[in-house]
Amino acid sequence: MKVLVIGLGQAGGKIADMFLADDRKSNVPHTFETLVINTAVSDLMGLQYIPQEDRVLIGETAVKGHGVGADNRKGAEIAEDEVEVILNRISKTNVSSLDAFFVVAALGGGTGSGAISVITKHLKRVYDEPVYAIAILPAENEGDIYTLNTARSLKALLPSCDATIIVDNGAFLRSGESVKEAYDRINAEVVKRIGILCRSGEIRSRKQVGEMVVDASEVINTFRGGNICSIGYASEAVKREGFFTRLFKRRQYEIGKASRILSVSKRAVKGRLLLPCDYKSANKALIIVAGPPDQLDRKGIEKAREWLEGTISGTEVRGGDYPLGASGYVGCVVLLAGVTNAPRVKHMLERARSVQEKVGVEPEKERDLDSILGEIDNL
Amino acid sequence: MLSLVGVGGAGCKIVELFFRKDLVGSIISKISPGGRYVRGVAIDTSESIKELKNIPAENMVLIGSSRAKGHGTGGSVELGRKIMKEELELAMSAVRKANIEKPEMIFLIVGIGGGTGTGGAPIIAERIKITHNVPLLGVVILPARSEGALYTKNTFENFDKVIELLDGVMVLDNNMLANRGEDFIASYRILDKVVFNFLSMINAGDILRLVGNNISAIGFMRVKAEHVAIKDILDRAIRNHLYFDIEGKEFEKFNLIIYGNLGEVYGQSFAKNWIKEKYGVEVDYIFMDDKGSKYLNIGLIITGLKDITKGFEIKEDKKTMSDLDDLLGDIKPLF
Repeated sequence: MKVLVIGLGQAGGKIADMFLADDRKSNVPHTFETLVINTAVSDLMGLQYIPQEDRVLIGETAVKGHGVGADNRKGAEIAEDEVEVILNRISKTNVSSLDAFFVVAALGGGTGSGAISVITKHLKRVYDEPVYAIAILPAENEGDIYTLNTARSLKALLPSCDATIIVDNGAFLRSGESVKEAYDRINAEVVKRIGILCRSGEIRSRKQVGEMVVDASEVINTFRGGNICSIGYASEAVKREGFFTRLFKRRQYEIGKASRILSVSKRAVKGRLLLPCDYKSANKALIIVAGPPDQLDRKGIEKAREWLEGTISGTEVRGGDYPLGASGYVGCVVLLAGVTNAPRVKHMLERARSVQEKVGVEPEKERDLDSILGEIDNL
Repeated sequence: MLSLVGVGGAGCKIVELFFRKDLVGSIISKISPGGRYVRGVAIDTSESIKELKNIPAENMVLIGSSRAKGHGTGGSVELGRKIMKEELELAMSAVRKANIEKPEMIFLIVGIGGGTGTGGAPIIAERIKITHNVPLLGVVILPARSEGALYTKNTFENFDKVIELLDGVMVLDNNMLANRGEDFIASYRILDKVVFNFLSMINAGDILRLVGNNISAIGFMRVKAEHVAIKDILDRAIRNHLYFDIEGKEFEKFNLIIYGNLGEVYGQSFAKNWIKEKYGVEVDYIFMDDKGSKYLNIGLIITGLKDITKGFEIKEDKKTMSDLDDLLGDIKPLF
């Protein structure tokens, strides 16, 4: 599945950067193409891998390249003003070969938070390809303004794209870790999971074609009407056998392959979701089991899929394998779409509502001034 | 001469078998009465059709390359239908090219449950009925239950639509092999071979007479021609080589086709009585003699089947209500 990742704002740009780095060293390069958009020059400068021509600065006239300072209304305004510039830049990438767009942003900040729903809306208007958002929630201790930003941005975002993958920063924080370390780790998690999701259907050499290939259309059908999505991942190390071990080993039936796949996929769903949520409330799901070909037991994948089918609220569960020749792990990615019970999102919205009440109706200063000025006699 | 049209992944794989160039393929196409000339078309929405190396390129059609981009339909019947409607002319041009001489009949081979075959088959069937005025017989493969509720649901909802325009249908159920302990991918490979062997051995006239205007289950097996009783053949065929569960279902008649060295076969009236006693129906025999052969090819057709989609009932979605929508309603809009 060929994807254009559009990173917005500081956090979105960083993730797009990691997507590019990960893509270029993977076994199927050019699955991901990237583009970053920001209002702050400094954030664009901080990226490592994305070539200069793929870094787009918007709102130069409005904020002179200094960013919008966590004002997401300003961010939305600038994105709306310069949407033609952005769409024009996107149309220069190889759009016809793409299968989907991923727009990435943190919802707590300014540029990304405001621009994400504007860009998804216009992408949907212009292109037939599905548009997905990767939305990063701020950790709970990041302050009221971020919470309110997030709630407003999420409200605009959900109806404007095909599905929204929500990533909860708070769920991955560990004590005694620097902010940078924590964010890097979370971003790497996002990139790894979505990487497996999108790469599994890409045909490599004939030896490496999976038995049950998860093609792009299966991913797209799972996402369709997904609203809020979450992705789980878990893995387990497997012993790699060298050439001589394999040559002299007594042939015997290996037990435990199927049960390993089942247990890894249960772990992925129950404990390791990007957005911690009640997995039983999901409407659709997709399981991809990646690992060395001899470890990918079809019965195990079938069993894992059957288990999920019996657990979630809907009936559509797809599944498949992704053979990775040189891997020492069996990993399982589970995409849950149409999640309705996400306590973290609910809590965030409740808090935003109370913040909103506290702030009250914002005084419409400018109009007040205008009306007073109107009452002054002309010179 | 056989004229085949495979739609969707499963259908195309079966058509591929008829074009096999290896030893087994060529021997079978020589010795069997039906399989000497094959015209086949494979139609799919997935680029994996390129993996089929034996079908001539002009007989393969990739449809929906703009809508599905060669990724298949991902189990969406609606998408399969839409794509087939849009690119029907492309698919039909290949069918026309393959059937320049008028065939006696055309077989539409489709695996039901996915998107391309389930959605596309009724649409191309309608057009073939108009352009080629010959009987159109269907080979329909039902999915194993372990393939998931989505496939089961698609089958339950669309089976009648798929067979509506066909002049006769042969069904095979992938679940039979799943019950015998195969995983469903391996069992598809087995079913593909069954269809191939069955269609290769049978005469065009016979198949039209037996399969025409009803739904039938088919089985195939090969036994050594060494003094075999027909009752044993029937017993084994019904137990292990019939690919549809006839238990608890209505059917009209057994038809046993034996092709091979008939000098080694005996006991037809005994077998007839045995079936009569056990299932309460008649058995018809078709014998085709091939004196030199060391093997007997056995084909079994059970005609007049009813309630095909029994057991494919759908599990209802457990509806969960979200309170997030209310909360989102309270938040003021961004712009």
